[in-house]
Order: sequence, then structure tokens, then C-alpha cells
Amino acid sequence: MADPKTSTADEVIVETRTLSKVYLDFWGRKKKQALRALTLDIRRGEVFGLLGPNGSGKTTTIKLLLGLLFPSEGEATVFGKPGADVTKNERIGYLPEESYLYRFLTAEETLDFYGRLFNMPADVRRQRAEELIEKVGLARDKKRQLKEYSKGMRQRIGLAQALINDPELIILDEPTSGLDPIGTRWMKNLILELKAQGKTILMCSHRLDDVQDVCDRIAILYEGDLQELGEVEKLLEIQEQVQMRARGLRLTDELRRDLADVVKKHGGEMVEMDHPTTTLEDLFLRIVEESKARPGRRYLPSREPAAATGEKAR
Amino acid sequence: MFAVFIKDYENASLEDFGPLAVHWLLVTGGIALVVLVIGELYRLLTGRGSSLQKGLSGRLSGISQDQAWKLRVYRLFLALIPLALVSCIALLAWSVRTDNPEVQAVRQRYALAAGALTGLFSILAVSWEFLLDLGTLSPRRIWAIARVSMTEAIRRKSLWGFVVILAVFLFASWFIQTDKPEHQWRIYVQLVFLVMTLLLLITASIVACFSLPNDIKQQTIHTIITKPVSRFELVLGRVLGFTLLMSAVLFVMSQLSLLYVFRGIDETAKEVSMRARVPIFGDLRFEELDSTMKLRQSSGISVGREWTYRTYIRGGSAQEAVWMFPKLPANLGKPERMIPIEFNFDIFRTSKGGEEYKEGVSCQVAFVNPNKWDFGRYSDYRKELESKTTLSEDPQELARKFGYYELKTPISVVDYQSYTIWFPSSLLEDLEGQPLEVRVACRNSSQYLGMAKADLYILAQEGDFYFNFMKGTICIWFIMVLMITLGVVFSTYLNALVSLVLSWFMLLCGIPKIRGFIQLIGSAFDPEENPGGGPMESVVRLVQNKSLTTPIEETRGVWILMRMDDGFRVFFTALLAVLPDLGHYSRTDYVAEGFSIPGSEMLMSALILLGYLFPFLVAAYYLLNAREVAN
Repeated sequence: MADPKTSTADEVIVETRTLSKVYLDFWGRKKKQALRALTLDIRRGEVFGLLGPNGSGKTTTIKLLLGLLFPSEGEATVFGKPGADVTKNERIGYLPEESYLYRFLTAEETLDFYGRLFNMPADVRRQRAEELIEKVGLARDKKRQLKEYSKGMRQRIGLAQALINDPELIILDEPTSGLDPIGTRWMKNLILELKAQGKTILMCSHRLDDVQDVCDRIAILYEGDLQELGEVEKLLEIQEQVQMRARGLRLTDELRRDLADVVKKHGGEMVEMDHPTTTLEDLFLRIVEESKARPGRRYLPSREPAAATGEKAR
Repeated sequence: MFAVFIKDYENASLEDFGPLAVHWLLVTGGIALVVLVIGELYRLLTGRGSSLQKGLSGRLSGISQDQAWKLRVYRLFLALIPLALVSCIALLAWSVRTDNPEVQAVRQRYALAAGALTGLFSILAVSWEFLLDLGTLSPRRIWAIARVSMTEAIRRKSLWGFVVILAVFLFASWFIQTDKPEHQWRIYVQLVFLVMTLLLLITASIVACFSLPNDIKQQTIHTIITKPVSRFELVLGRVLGFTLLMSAVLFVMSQLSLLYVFRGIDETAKEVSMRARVPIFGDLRFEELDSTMKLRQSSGISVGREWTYRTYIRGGSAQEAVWMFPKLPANLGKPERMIPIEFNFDIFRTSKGGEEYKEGVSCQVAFVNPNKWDFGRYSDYRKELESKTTLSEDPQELARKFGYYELKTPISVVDYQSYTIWFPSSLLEDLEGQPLEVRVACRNSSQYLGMAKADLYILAQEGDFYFNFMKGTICIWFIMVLMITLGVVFSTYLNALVSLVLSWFMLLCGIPKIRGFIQLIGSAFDPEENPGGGPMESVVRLVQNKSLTTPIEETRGVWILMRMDDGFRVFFTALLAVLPDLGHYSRTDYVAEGFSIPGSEMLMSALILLGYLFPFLVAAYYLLNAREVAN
């Protein structure tokens, strides 16, 4: 079991610095630049979303963090340790996209096996496995081999093995892939529950509505370049518009002050006063279109997140 | 009774541990040194930095201060290598500067020791990161991976191939026809050992070679490597799991095989063949009287047979074959008894026909205590032996008095027959460090008696037959472990099929006859062993129309070509070092012929196996750590 670490909310759990990955062929020639100079931080306790179309470098980033691939340049650290250091894995849980588990094992045997890999004592292992099987709703099927499971069931047992060690950092690659709407809702609720427990979650997904529902911050990749990085709420804000919800009043800056007074003066009740938001899907598609029109790295860390319809500073 | 033990392969025993260890240090250390040099060049050419800063695989870079000693120790090993190497070369050069053979031998021993130290430091440098990580391995994790490996093999029905052995048990006896009961045991044992070995090796190689590549292909390895599991634990877990599973299968097969053999052979065959003799072999030499009637050592006679396993003595001459037994167990002669000696010889006849052919060749066997016996007393001995006194009837007292014992009448020996005679244990008294001698002479003129070292032995005791059968099974186990480890090691970097082919290639090349052939090819490049040199020199001689022994004018081009032959020789020497030597592990003949497998030889086989597999395990460590499993 991973030991809980006391820390501040600003503690950086995952850090990449100009992380790059180039796939080479057998002769050492460059085949594909999968990732180019990615720099980002993930802080403790947040749910971080990694978005991008197919081939953008999301899964490559995750694999570099986990030591399944080695960087061509730059560095990736998790809990201050490089990706290839296996000791950091004590505190990590990983759910791969396709839930690659041994199909000849039952659910109980699967969790027992992974529990042993964490050197968990037998009684702790047994108890933890039972809890997780119950939690993921597979109690009735725990003695069946995984080859008899549906995709959704395999996804659940995959999540269970990712949580077997009560990790501090949970990495989910397409967690809602293959799940029906109920399963998707269940997964999102679980993610929020884990966040409430203080876990840090890094997830990749194509399902933008799912990401919008659960993520605190997101990074958008396109063809190996980081295109956008920031908090979901702020990225989705439409700055040039103001949204005010008030009963019977309209909003300006001066008006904001006056309104507050006026509303109060006029006996009204100010319910909400903010800017309206677009959807993440619209933002995502717009950024992809702009990136196609102007290739190259778009996001600069020092640049403020720009308005959705405004020109981006370069 | 027929128990012919063709011992044409000298198995190593514990006494050979020292020389074998030095040989291992030299060969493995040489390979390690080459790896260090190539590794350093690769790191510098690809811009990964010197191994002096980062270790051989780069994992010693960026370590904390309290771990810095790891890099310092690695640098120390690297520094000691050239020191030891230079010392070795200097001592070798120094050893040729003297004409005194004793001094030369001492200096060469020092040079050998320096060479062994060079090898040791090279091995330590290459395997340093591996040794460091060994201390962090978790037995629980290794056991977890082993359990899953066994479960995988069972649930994927990999063991169903063993039902083939049932077909053998059911139908093989239809094809086994023997006219002599003593042949039954040999044929049955060889059959079941062959079937067990083949089935086991085929299954073991398939499960070992396909396991890791399947994991990588199906990406199940991703969920394991992203746990706190070191990659070498994967390798060890696989090897352990498959070894345990196949060991259980081997045990079951061996018991079924034993039952099959018991039921298959008749009672006469059981009585004569189901044995486990514990022999004491001597050293064989040949002697004959010279013109001054003094005994001198000779080389024996070759009768022109292609198979040169045996050497011959001429009948009716003063030639004798002498077996020397320098080290006999202290309790061999206690209590006082007649000690059995068993032997079988080959007969080469220069004349055939008549009753004499059926009667066999007359053979005199004598036993000598060299500390007490004087050949000048032979007439006294014969007189005493043929007298009807109490002494002549008591072989113990006769032998004690003279230090000599021979059969009253020569024994008649035929081909394909083993004989047992006895000698008094009192001969072993007062040997004073001298070897007991057993002298054999052929009395029939115009016939030749052929013998090899293992053709005559003292039968020290009878071992337990079942225990010996299981020892033979353990020898199959050694080969199985070799196959599993090679399969898993190769599959860390190669795909399943290539690993399978390579594993079988290595194993087949390790068969003594095939390995001997490779050794023969390698020796063809040695100008001292083979006049005419290797292929490049042969080409030169063909072109220049020069015979094998005619000196060649060494122009620059010829010199280059002949250096290529040196390269071939080095290549074959290195190849033989890499290939396993299955002769160390194969003991089927012992069980088939009813001889006990010595425990010290089995222990040496286990140590040799460990020494052989160690470099491969180190290689697997680096290969799997360097591999991007998600690429």
C-alpha cells in the first residue's frame, strides 16, 4: 500500500520539462516525432485531463511518465523520480486504454496477483480485493475468468487493479472507453470520489463532455505539440461577453457596482453575475482548426489564456 | 552379463573445480572485457556519455550522494582491469625468458592467476549494476510472477503434449525385440529417457520462448511493469515458474517411466541389469619389457579401427595394460574380504576359426601392491600358490605376504561379455601412498586385446537402483533448466519464433558429437594442429600451387589473408565458449548400463550450469531494462 504523504495542494506530483519522443526505425532513422518539448506540471489533488486527437502524443506522454518508453530529450518525473525508476510505482495506479490483463485469471486471482506485486500481506490483500470487487460491482462474477467478461467488466476490473495499492496518483487512459452511459456516469462519480479523497488523477480521453465534467485543468495536444494548457473553467470562459443573472437588470462594470447597489436599492436579489461559457467541445474543435491552419507550437507558458474568439499572442 | 560403459567423455568432478573456475574466469572475463569496450565505444559514439560517469547502462547517473559509492566501486573495477591485464602480459613475457621448466611453470601459474583476476574484475564491472539490483529483488514478487506463469501454462493447456508419452507406454513394447535379457533394461531405459527428454524440452522451450513475447504483444506486460516490479524480477519469475512446473511434470513422468520399465522387462533382466554399481576407475597405461628386460611405458597398439576409443596389447608378448588406482577409499578393504573387479575387453583377432574362437582369448590378471612386491619374487609366489599349504589356500595371507595376487589360471575372455573376478583386500595394506596396480596380459599369440580406461573398474559397492534412476532424471532436469533459461533470456529481446530457433540451435550444438565437430573445424584454423592452416591459407596454397608443408612467402596480401584465419580461430573459440556442453549433464548411459552416477559429478554439473547461465542472466537484465516495451 502506498503511504499517504502530507503535502500542500501546490506540490507538483508530475513534471515534464521539454519532454520529447522520437520513434526511430531499425536503422536509427527518425520515423515519427510523437512528442515535442512538452512542459507541464500536475499538482497534488487535481484532476488533470490530457486531450488531443489520435496521434497527438497523449498516450506517449503517459507511457513516458510510467517508464514504458524512454524520452528522446527532456525529462519526465513523477514524485521527483524519473519515469524509469520503478520505486515510484508504489504510489501510482494505472488503467491502460484496453485493460490488458491476463484473461486466464479470475477477478479474485487478478487482484491477488497485483496485490502481491506490491508486497501486500495476504490478509490485507484479501480484504482490499474484496472491497474493490464490491466497489466495481463484480462480486457476482469474481470467480469467472476474465476471458468471459464483457468490455465494460474488464474496464472495471482494470480500474480495480489500478486502485489495489490505494495510490496517490491515478493515471487513466480513456477510462470511459467502451462504457455505456450508466458506466460512464459511474466512472465519473468514482473519479470525483477519488479526488475528494485527495488523490491526483491524470486522465486521457476523447470524450470531451466527460473531461469537462471532472477535470480541473487540461492540456490539449496536437501532433506532439502542446496547444493549450489551463483550468477548464477559465479556458471555457468567453471573456468579451458578460453574463449576469439577475432579476430584471443588465450588466456593465459601473453597472456592476451600481447594480449591486441598485439591485439592493431596488429590493432585488442578485443571484449570479459572471461571463457565459462555451462548451469544451467547441473550444477543442476551434483550437484544432487553428492549429491546422497555423502549424507549430501554439501554447506558451507565460502567455495568459486568451479569449475564445480573440487572436492568440505568438 | 553385459555392462559396457563407454566413458568417452570425462565428466568433471569436484577435484576439477579449481581449474574449471579459472577457465570460466578467463573465458567469461574475456567476453565481459569485450562487452565493456564495445559498450564504452557505443556510449561515446551515440553521445550518451562515458560509462565512467553513468555506469554501463547509464543507471548510475544522477544518483544521490549516499549512493555515490556504487559509481566509485564500478570505477575501481574498471581501474583494476588494465592493471591485472598488464601484469598478466608481463608475467607471460617473463615466463618465456627462462629455460628452466620449473621456473617457467611457476611464472606461468602467476600469469594465469593475473589473467583470472583480469577476468574477475571484468565480470564484476559488467555485472555490477545487476549485482546491485539483486539486493533489491523481492522474493514475494518473483513468486507471484512464477505462480502466474505456472497458471498460464496449465490453463493454456501447454502440458497436453505429454499425453504422447502414454502412447509410448502403450505401444513401444510392440517394437522392442531383444534376444538377451541384459539388453532389455538398456533399451527400455534409453527409450524412456529419450522420450522424457524430448517431450520435456519441446514443451519447456515453447512455454519459455513464447511467454514474454506474448506479454509484450498483448501488452499485459504494461500492467506489470507499471507496478514496483523490476524487469529482472519478470525474468526470474518466469524461469522459476516454468522450472517448477516442468519439474513436477518430470517427476510424474519419471515415476510412470519407472513403472513402465518394471513391468516391461522380465525377471532375468531385472536381476542382472537393475543395478547401480559404484565403480572406482583407475588410470590406464601400457607397459612392455624393453631389450634390457626392464619394464617401460609404451603407447599401446592401434589395430586400425576407425573408432580409437580402445588401445590394444599384443597377445603372447610382454605387453601389459596396467590400471593404477592411486586413491582408494580407506574403508574399501574393511572388513577383510574379497573385492570384486569387473571388466570387459574387446578382442581383435588376426586368425579365426576352430574351437579356439569359441573358447575366447586367454587373459591373465594380476594385482600388485608396488610397495611390497618385487617381480624377482614371482617364481617364489608361483611355487607358494601351487603348493598345497594353508597359505596357498588363503588368498588374504598370500597377498599380505607377497603384495601380489593373480588368478591360478588365466580367464577366457570373449567379446561383448563382462566378467567379475575378486582380489583379496589385504593387498591394500601398507600401500604407503603407492597406487594399487591391476595388470592385464593376453596369452594368445596372434590375438590382440583392446581396452579403455573405463573397461576395468573396482566395484566398490552397489548403490540404490531407484536413487540412481532419479539421479539420471535430475540430469535431464539440468538440461531442462538450461533450455528454459535460454528461452526466457532470448525472448527478452527477440520474438518468440526466433528465440525458439536460437534456443534449439544452442542446445543441438551442445550435443557432444556436434560440439566435437565444431571443435574440429575450429582446430582446422590452428597451424600447429593442422598443417596447411585454415581456409584462407588453403586458398593461397591452391593459387600458388604449394603443398601443405611448403613454406609460403608472406607478402602483405598473404599476411592479411592468414590473419583472417586467426580471426576464424578466435571466432570458433568464442563460439565454443558460448555454446553449452551437454556432455556435462547427460548421464543416461550410467543408468542404462547400471552404474551409479557419482554425487560429486552431479554437484559439479550443477555448478557448471550456474556458471554457464550467469552471463546469460546478466545479459537478460540489461536487454530487458534497455527495451521499450511499449514501442
